[in-house]
Amino acid sequence: MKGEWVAAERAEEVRAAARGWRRAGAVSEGTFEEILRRYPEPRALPAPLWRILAFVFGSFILLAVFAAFLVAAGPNPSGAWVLCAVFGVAFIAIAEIQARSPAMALRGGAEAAGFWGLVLLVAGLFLLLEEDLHISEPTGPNLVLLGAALLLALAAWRWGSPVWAFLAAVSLFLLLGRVPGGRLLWIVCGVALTWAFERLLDRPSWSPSHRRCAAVLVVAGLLGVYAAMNLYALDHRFVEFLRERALDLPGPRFRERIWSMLGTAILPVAVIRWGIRSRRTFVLDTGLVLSAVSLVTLRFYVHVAPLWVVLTVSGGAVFLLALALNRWLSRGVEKERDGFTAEPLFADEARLRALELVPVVAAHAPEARPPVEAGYQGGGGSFGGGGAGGSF
Amino acid sequence: MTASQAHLFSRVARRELVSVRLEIRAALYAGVLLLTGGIALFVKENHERIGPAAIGLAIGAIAAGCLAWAWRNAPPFTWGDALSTHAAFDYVLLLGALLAAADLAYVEAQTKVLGPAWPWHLLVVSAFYALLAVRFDSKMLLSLALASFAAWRGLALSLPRASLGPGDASRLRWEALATGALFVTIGIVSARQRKKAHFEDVWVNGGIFLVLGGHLSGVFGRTEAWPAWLLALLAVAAAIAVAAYLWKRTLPFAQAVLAAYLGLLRAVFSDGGGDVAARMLLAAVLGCAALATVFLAHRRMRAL
Repeated sequence: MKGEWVAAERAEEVRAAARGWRRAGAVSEGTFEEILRRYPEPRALPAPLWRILAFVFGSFILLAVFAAFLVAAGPNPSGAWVLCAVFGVAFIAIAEIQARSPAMALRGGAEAAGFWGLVLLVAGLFLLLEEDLHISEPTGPNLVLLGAALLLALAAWRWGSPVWAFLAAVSLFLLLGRVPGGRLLWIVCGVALTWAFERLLDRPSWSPSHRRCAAVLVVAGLLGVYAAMNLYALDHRFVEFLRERALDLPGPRFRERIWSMLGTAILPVAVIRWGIRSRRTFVLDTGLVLSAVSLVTLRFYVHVAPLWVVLTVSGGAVFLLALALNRWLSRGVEKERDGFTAEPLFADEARLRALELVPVVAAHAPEARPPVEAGYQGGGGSFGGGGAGGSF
Repeated sequence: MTASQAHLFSRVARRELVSVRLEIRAALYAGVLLLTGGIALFVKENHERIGPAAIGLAIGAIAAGCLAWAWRNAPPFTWGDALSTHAAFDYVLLLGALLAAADLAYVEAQTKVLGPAWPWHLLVVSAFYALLAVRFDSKMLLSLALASFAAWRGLALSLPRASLGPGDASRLRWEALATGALFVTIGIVSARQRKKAHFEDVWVNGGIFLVLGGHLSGVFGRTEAWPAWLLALLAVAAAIAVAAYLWKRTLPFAQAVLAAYLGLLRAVFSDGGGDVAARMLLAAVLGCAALATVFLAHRRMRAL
């Protein structure tokens, strides 16, 4: 990453923090203006919606141009990799040019060009190995995954994108899952990723975006370890199915299952504990998600009650626990306990509430009424007026 | 910057003080989802054994309890912005509203009071949500009110469902246009009258979504009149884009540009056949024009 990009990111972080302080009323308008004056906007930074729109249109354009050349050239399968490689490199170059321009770097176009460039390069590598060099299972796909992991890691390092970092980790785990002892390698690699990048999370010399990449890799490492240890994943041989001839593999041994049960139960609690002790909310969130997955796994094996009881009781419990936590934190000295608070601090609550509208409507909007047909006599409604499913 | 301000910011920066508000809100919403899912499943599996009266009363009682709590903890009514400070308020209100609406649907399904006119219960639910939304200043419930109203007209106001809804496409198109126009009008009037003016974005965006969706349905429908629908789409999209540009509304502008581009793709690929490469390049050129419009509009809207 170029030095001026790092400097620009730091200034953008300060400006974003200042906006939060002003929103929360923690600084006066004069102080806010002074901060903006001292840290002028280094790059044009549109709102997220503009960036999404630019990404969508950028994708349309790039794909249409590529498709036009693909149709016009009509290459045979063994020559298609050349076209993919040429366009992949061209798109990466377009992304790099945009990233270098302060006016264009954060508009969404660079992300679109980078994404499709990487996709085409990986596709080109696959076509080269499969159609031209005829390197088949298992070496061919392994090389594709290795190439994808390296390309994505380079892209994450160059442009500081957490998405590329996460996809690089996914490619790496897929590759490891395809070699003998893949499950153990997932655990080793997950622990190594988490350990290595946790140490870099607060490194001052790293740019803010690289630290976000490190955070994503910590989460990816934890997810990899958990996926290897989860009992359901073990019993269903999720990792082993990535390999060729996985159907010939025997089922898990008793001792493996015992370790897996312990891992499924203990790992989420350990991650939550780590999140609380380190006061890193992304670790805490990961632990909460893993806990939910472990409870679902438990429900799969142990039928203590009908599903509706489990859903209702767990829903009530989650709700009441959240309320109790909110109350406990709010009644602490200055509304905080052990460094945690339920106050929003400097977060943009209005934006969060606006973002909530989409899942609420998607989950609870009633289904459209059916068309009325001649001679139709009704027949009851559906228990969906409130968004709940089920019909009678 | 005062010493106390600097101390607070420093504590937050060093993670000596961390907010878990987002986690609490997410847990509350997950709780609501699980509870409503569990209750729906309970009713589905047990309604014959327990009987409709007991089920209806039980759900009604829980809903009433939630709404009573919301009433007690709500800030006083105002036509302006009145966000509650209680973290659980939005979710207790949502739970109460969803259960009450589900109870109404269940009672109607059991008693068949409305007979063949049973879809009218969707209008009742919509009005109920809208009343709660206005009283408790909830955009969440307003968006559900709009979705329920659209469902009453036979429309699916939900992207995952992808199409306008089941039934006669031609009729649904006009329903979408009329419903969308109604939503947009209410949004503009409420903003002008300063009666819950901050709800404008929900009304207007929901309405524009339906209006543009109705036009796109005409453009991509199996109808000979698609060129006329395309012209209408382009005219409406241009009008929306200009209005959004003048009033600095990002989402309507984005919807208009995207809809216009999608409509033009139909013209580019209309009769199928040869010269696909040239058509693809034309689609790319149109995409460049759309992208340039977006960049230009963003720059000017920032400067306005």
